[in-house]
Amino acid sequence: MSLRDWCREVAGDNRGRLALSNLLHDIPHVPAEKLRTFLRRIHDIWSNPAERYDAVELVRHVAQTEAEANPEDNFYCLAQPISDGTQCSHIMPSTEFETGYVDRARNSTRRIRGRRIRPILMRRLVLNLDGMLKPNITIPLEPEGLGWVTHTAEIDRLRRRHAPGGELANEVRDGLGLLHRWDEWELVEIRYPSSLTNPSPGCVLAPPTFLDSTPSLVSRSGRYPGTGWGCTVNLQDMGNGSPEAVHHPIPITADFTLHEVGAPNRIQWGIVPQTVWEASSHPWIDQDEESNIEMLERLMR
Amino acid sequence: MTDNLPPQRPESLRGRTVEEIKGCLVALLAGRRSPLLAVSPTVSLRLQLVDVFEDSDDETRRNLRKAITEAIDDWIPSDGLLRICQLADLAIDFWAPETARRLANLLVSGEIPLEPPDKYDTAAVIVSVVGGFAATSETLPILETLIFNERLSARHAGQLFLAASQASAKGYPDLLPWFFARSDEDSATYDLDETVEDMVETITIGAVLQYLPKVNRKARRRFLSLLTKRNLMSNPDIDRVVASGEWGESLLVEVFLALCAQQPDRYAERINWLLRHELAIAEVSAAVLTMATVVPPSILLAHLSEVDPSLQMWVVERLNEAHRVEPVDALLSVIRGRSKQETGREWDEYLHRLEMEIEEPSGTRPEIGPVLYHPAGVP
Repeated sequence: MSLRDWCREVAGDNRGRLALSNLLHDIPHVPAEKLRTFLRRIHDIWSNPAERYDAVELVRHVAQTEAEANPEDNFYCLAQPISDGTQCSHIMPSTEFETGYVDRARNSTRRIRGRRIRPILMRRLVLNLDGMLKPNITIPLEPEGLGWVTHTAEIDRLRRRHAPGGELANEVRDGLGLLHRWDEWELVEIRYPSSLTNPSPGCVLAPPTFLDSTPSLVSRSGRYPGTGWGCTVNLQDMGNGSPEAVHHPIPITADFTLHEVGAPNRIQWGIVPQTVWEASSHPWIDQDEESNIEMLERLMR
Repeated sequence: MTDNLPPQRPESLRGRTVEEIKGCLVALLAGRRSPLLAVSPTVSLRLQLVDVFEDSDDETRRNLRKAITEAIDDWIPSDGLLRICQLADLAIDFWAPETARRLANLLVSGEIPLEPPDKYDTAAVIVSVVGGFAATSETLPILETLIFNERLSARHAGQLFLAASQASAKGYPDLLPWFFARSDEDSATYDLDETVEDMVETITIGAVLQYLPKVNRKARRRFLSLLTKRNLMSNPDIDRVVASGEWGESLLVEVFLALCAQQPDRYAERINWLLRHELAIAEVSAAVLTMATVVPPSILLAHLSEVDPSLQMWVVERLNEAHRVEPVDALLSVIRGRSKQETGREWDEYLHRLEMEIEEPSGTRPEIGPVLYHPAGVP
């Protein structure tokens, strides 16, 4: 069992082909030493009969294990940082925000059942986020690893067309490629202060690599036209969607704000998983498989 | 090649025993795999479990509830605080109110630290979950054990007060003084305005006003001030309660004064409202005299014309009695107000002339009282 076997196993389904296509795309964007370390880990684990993992899940396992062992220096956020000063936003379910971020004692919170939070809590979060949060909280919550963001302007563009509610949530979800938000969980936008995306040691944004996004059916490594940002897959047509980037946990400060999005209420996707990786700039196709594997083996040495 | 799109709702829990499901939940929460349920590592586990619960048949739901209840029963401190937080939140998501007693006992017994808050603020999570079951009749006694437990810090008083009010609106008058006292101990924690707003949203202003007479006088004054500060009660709200005969005259006056103190510029509207109720004249006179001491004279004058015309002279007399306004100034204010409302320019001209006369050093103040009773008659 070897890296070669692992590659062939991964290439066995669309999700794996996408991961390998992303890997090919990201080779120039990930530091060579990091890539070598990663491939060796994959090789070692896959060669060890005592350790059994799903081949595609193994990418995530290795990245996550590394992040837990080395919170400061791991396989996440390895691509060239973005420092264009663009304001960014993160989308998440409101109930996750409530359970993870809200200071329940200070806000006299009682949990309710369901996919939404109490309207009064939503109003307060929108009005005064800073006064509602647990002390010393980060986004994402440590040690979850990665925060995903898009341009705030992209969400605002959709807001000009729809008030918060089902349609806005559908479009935000589809444009950002949030395949896992297909149900009716109410979403909120966490808006970062614009100063954060300027060059700053506090928050380094980078376009996601395969190490950040695997396993996903709809994370395709690429660049948003004219920028250093990554690019989502639009769930409507599998084409390029919105700009995206990842970052390590950063503290939420008084300058962050929260905005209502709404709960998606419609799914009209035409997702054909094969088309996602086939549209990659470096698709992992059968006729190139041997040469690609040889290249990875060289990179591992 | 097959991919699941969107994620399939696992039905593998159907027909499984409570013990098996509990084992599955505990394994997943510990970050391990379970052969019973495949979950995505990229999506919140809680959200996935809620989806599984909601898509399950009735029997599987019952088993999930029992499984979460047993898992909470089994929890010991060495399992870690994160685990009990996860289980507690799932108890609400699966709606398992039978967990409330056990969760409350964990707080009372000291198995969960209260002060200072731990990394997960576990005590607040537990109280928010127990409080989340407030709609069930069995929960009130459990909440009471927490409310009257001295170990529970003032930090959780807001959570407990609101949950108990939701469980039994008629009981809130007994708890309000307790809540104010506890919140004063930890005033940095609470925004009382928001707690009261939350209370009104939870139990409705109708219930708040219905039981208001049972609140002790000291707490009531403070409570009324909070209610009026955010404009949480309207005149029709109050009228409905008054019509039901629940309130005495003194409470009506108390509410009138609170409203005037909070929104002085609407005092005239409040007087009109107060006088529509059939109160003893002495009671109303006393109310207006008191009101006059809290509303600044400039505001008294500015809004005098909004008082019901048939009552204006009476009100002017009261304001004069309280030494807050001069009758002439009051009458000028009334005329100025009416000139805008009724007759426009001609009154403006009259007023101007009148003011010129008043300002003349040797002049005596003109007799303008009758004007009030003949608003259409321009001199």
